[in-house]
Amino acid sequence: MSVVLDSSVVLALYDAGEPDHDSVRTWMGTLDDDLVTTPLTLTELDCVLAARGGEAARHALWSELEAGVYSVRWWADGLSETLALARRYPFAGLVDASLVALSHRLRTNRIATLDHHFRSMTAPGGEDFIVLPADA
Amino acid sequence: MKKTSLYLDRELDEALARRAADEGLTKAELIRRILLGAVQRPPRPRPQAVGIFRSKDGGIARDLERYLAESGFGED
Repeated sequence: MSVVLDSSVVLALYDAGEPDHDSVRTWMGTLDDDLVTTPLTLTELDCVLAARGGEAARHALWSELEAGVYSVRWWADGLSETLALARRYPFAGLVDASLVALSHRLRTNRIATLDHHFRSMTAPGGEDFIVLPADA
Repeated sequence: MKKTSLYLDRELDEALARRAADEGLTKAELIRRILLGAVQRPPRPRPQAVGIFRSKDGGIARDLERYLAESGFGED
């Protein structure tokens, strides 16, 4: 099974000063499923980690990507599907829209995020997202 | 190779066809690779960078878009 991965959860995992750090750490420690994200999200995360945790945090992310802790997926229709979703949900930017598109591609309604916007968007089949770790 | 038949629901069958086209493979080859990966793949490694830093102004993870906008993300 796959879980779509938003940058907010990785930031909270790496930053012990984030209020959600403990809940994310506990949840991640028990999760066996694949954590999959998009190139757009990865770019956002790379920049945020560099700004918040410096080069050490950024390089830790790179190492974990190499190790297979997180995986990245993109596909031929990724851009058109992302743009269509960004237009459907004007409050969401391209990064969030790409994650919704990815959920459709992976046929999963499970998303790891701290961003409440995903409560207002629909997963494949018109279902609500299961927002993790809050809904675990 | 041994021939095997299995039933797939239509949505999964279509998704496999799309994925195979994305990757330039036949559907049969994609299914073989997925199955091989499933039986050979080791468990996903656990993250090691947990708590690698501690910010003094935590609390941005829930509203990253706002943080990025206020910090001038994407601007030179």
